Amino acid sequence: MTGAADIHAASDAERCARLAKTWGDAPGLWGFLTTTDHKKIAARYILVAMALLVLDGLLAVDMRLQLAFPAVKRLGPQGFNESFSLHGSSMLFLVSVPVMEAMAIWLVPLMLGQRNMAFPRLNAFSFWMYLGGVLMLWIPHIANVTPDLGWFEYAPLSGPNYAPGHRADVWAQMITFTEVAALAVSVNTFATIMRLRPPGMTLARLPIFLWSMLISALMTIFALPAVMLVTSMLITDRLVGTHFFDPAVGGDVLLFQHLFWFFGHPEVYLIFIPALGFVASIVETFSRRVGFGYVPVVLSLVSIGVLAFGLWVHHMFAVGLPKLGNSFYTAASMAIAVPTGLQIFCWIATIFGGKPVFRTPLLWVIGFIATFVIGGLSGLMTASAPLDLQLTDTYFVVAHLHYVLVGGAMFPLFGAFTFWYPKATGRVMSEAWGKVAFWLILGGFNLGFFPMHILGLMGMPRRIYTYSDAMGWGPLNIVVSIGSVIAAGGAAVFVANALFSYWRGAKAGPDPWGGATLEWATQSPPPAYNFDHIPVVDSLTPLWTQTGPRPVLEGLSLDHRELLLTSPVEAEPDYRQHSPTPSIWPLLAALATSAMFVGSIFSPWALVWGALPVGATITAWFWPKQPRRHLGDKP
Amino acid sequence: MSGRASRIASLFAGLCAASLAGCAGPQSVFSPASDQARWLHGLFGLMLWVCGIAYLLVLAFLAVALWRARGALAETPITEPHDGRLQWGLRAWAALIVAGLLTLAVASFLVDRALAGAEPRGDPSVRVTGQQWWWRIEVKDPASGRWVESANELHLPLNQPTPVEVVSADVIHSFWIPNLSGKIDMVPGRVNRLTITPRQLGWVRGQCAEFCGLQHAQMALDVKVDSPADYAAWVARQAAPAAAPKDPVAARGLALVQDGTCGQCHALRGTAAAARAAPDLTHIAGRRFLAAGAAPLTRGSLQGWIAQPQALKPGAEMPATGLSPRDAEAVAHYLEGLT
Amino acid sequence: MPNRAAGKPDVRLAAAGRRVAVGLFAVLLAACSVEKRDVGPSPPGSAPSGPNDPREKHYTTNFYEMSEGGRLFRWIGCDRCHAEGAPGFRNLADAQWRQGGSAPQIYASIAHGAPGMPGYDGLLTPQQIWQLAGYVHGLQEVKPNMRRRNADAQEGEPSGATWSGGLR
Repeated sequence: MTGAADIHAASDAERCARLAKTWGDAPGLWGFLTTTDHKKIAARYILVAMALLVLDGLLAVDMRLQLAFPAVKRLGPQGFNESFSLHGSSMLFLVSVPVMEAMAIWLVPLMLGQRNMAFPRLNAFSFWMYLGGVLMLWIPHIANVTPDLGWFEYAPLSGPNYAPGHRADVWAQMITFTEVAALAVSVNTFATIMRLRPPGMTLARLPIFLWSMLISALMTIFALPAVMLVTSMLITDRLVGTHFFDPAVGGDVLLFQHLFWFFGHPEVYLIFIPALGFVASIVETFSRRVGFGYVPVVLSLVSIGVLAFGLWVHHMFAVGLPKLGNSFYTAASMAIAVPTGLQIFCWIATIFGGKPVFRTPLLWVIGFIATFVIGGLSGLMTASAPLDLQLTDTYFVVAHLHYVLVGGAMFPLFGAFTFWYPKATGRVMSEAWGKVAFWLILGGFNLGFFPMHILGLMGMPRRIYTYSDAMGWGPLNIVVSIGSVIAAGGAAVFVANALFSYWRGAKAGPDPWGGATLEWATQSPPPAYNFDHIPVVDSLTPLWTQTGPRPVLEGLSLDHRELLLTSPVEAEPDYRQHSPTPSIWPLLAALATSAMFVGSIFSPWALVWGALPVGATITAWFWPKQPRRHLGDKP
Repeated sequence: MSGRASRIASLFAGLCAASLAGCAGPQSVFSPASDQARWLHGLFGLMLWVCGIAYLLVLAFLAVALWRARGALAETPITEPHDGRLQWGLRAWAALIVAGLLTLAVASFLVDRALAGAEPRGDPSVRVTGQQWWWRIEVKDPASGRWVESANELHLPLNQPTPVEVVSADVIHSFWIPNLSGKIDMVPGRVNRLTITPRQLGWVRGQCAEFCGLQHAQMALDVKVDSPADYAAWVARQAAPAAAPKDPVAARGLALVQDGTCGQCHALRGTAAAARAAPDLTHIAGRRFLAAGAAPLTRGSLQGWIAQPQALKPGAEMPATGLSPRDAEAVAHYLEGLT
Repeated sequence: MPNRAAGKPDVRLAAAGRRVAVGLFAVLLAACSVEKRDVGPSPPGSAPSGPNDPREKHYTTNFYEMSEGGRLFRWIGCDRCHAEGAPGFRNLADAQWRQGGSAPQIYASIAHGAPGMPGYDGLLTPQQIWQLAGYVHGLQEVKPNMRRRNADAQEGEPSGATWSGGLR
């Protein structure tokens, strides 16, 4: 037991040693399996997602080889359908959403000057569930049980009669896994940002990055239950013969689409909004000035978050819904261009009003603006209910969605990866190779995807494995394939640069870019306890305004895992929260839940018998711990 | 409504047509051949202009911002910037976005109204049913008032608003003939309608636009816009029973078709083959393509298809029949006579 | 010999691990064959060579072949007599096989007919009869609610010479 006086008396070196002992993990495999360190969990998420990104990219190149010329016989219909289904499902559910969440897990506590997330064990659980989802899709793929109906498996094509075997079940249950993981992360991120802010970081001083993570976490909590519901309904239709999607006896196949897109559209934004957070951080740091228009940007993010739930029907303009209703969704979809357009203005204005330094992360942001705006504008075209009838389900939409997701989310992600890489590894990625990768990916991407707009307008539907020479799509398809190969080459350079720099990159200090937010105040890489002292904040850009010694807050125990809880709005210190120690139970609970999910593909009884081990592991996980302590109590 | 929409169309269609002439074709948004497709083409032109200008503005602002920054290197970050002019820029930018969006939303609404206004009140005279992976075509014969069945080839009368009813027999398909109209999904349990007013004679092509399984890629629809007289003749021809075999080889072909495997799934009106699981073959030789656009219909392709359909369209529901080459030849010879 | 004593559980553990690995591998292999969906040029097939025809396993376990059999079952019009819940010998799901219940035996019933039922040899290709036999063979393992569910889903498809006009 250490008293308050003891905390102050400890020398810096002694503090660090004691904190490291308190927050460190057990050595070896046991430590690996039990850790609740948010940095390690996030790193695992990011490594798995990056590995999948590479695999999915290879699938894309494979498909482009099939489509490069008319009437290629390489993949065949089954192979091609499996490829695009795996590419789409994996990219949307296992790469884009999780990687954005992983960035939140890694950065949010650091940017808040905290030592861990609000619910560390839930964090560990979410990763194991995510890994379960990855294995749920890819192990069956090795066994040739690959889902083959696209990334949204519309009923009745995915129903019991038209999708024999377990391919559709694999897809549906993979979604359950990833959505459980995503919900766990979102609750965690939301609670962390609301209650674990450092003293002084009122909501008005919350960095844009944290606003974006807060909003996307909230959106996840509202959007994801819809898709879990629809995939569960699909599974019961397939497993026990319910009739949710069977029109012959009163079911409705459009119910599937409504529920799916009620999730599916917000999903796009909960990939995109964190990317806006990356952009805000990068632009601010490299323009060497406070970002222009804090209030408009935050309000834009909030309004995107709200509007995103009111426009799912624009994915369904062709299904024959009443025209007047479609007009409403046209208006709502177009309205979202206002907040997005204002943000674009604010970032360019930040560069305009600042003194920018052109390092690779800023290049990615410039590439993002030039590319994403094309995707946004083609989005306006698809938002128009009548015009969408010519565009939906064609290559125009394929181009649009890649411009939005790659240009709008992956480019900022690559920028963010380069930007925070030194913080995570202690080394800076090579600038020269970073620029090579940037230009290859930017050029290859635009060469590969821009012609797709024209192909779509020339009548090429998406998801076709072959086309005849007479259609005249050949020349543009060759261009597209060449572009995709160049972009894949660029991605290889990027990955090689990241790997090489891990061992050979130039050493980075705590703050290689001169950043403004708290994560740059600690060492690179940060120790297990993140910060020696809990920082205190007095502005939006604390590291730029606190030129003297930085103010800190004392009083957290050195020998117990404690976090400082603050009030939700004003961030006034509230109480000290015991933070859970490492534990094997999240892993065991995830294993039990996985067994239940996998079993429920084969028998509804798996839910009953599978619930017992889940209940047992969760009981052990939540076994009562010490009560919370108020500030000033003896620890 | 339609007048205003077509004025928008004529304004912008010309400009777009000039720049994108290379993209025209039998299945292309760029060569509209009906009222509906022309309105949509015009709307696309307007969108392209508005969005193009917006994109250029963004790029110009970005370029100016980057140009201004050259050589500037600041050691201390700016924490209290003076952004008076940029604040005004933000307001102007917001006003510009709203104006652009209003233009697009109003134009979009007008085109939508025009599409809805073009629908005649009467019952549909054409019904198309999507099936894995072909189109069942039914047209109302004005002479008898009965529905006449065909497959994979649709004729439409010039200058007449034709209401088309689309349904599905199995999974969701999407009926899309880009030169004539936007797409409409064929949803099991729903009856969807659209109206086409063709303005140009000739062949165009449609294709299933909603992923519907293995052979989604080869589910094409051949469409011909006929003069009203030709259209009436086509309907009358489709209503007639299958032509009688002209020679002994064809007669043997007929026998093989109606007493063998073909007749278990296909129908030939006027013969004993009456099953409805697969495309109606009564006038197959009058069509230009085989197996929903998988190959041009020739004697050779017919015979190859009968012998080994899975080579041309892997996963299609038609099995290899196992007919001897001589029998296959007789069947192909017979079918060739069914104009 | 303390090493040996300590080594024993390890050996047992390794053996158990091997068994689990072999089991998993077997499951994966089984998944490969039942989920296989080979499309492309295929011969029309031939009748069973005898009671132990090696193709029996493929047609009675592969999901794709069995579901193709299910579609044909309606398209050919089998469901007119053998509808779900049909009485007596027409019920194909009651596990009572008058003509024998192995796939080759069912093949023979379909091909050469049964009392009150015509033979389909020559009307269907051998591959189609195999698919139908596989489907019929598996019917009794499918729960009745699932059989009805599947029949409902096929409501819009044609059956023999009738077609009700698509689901509307």
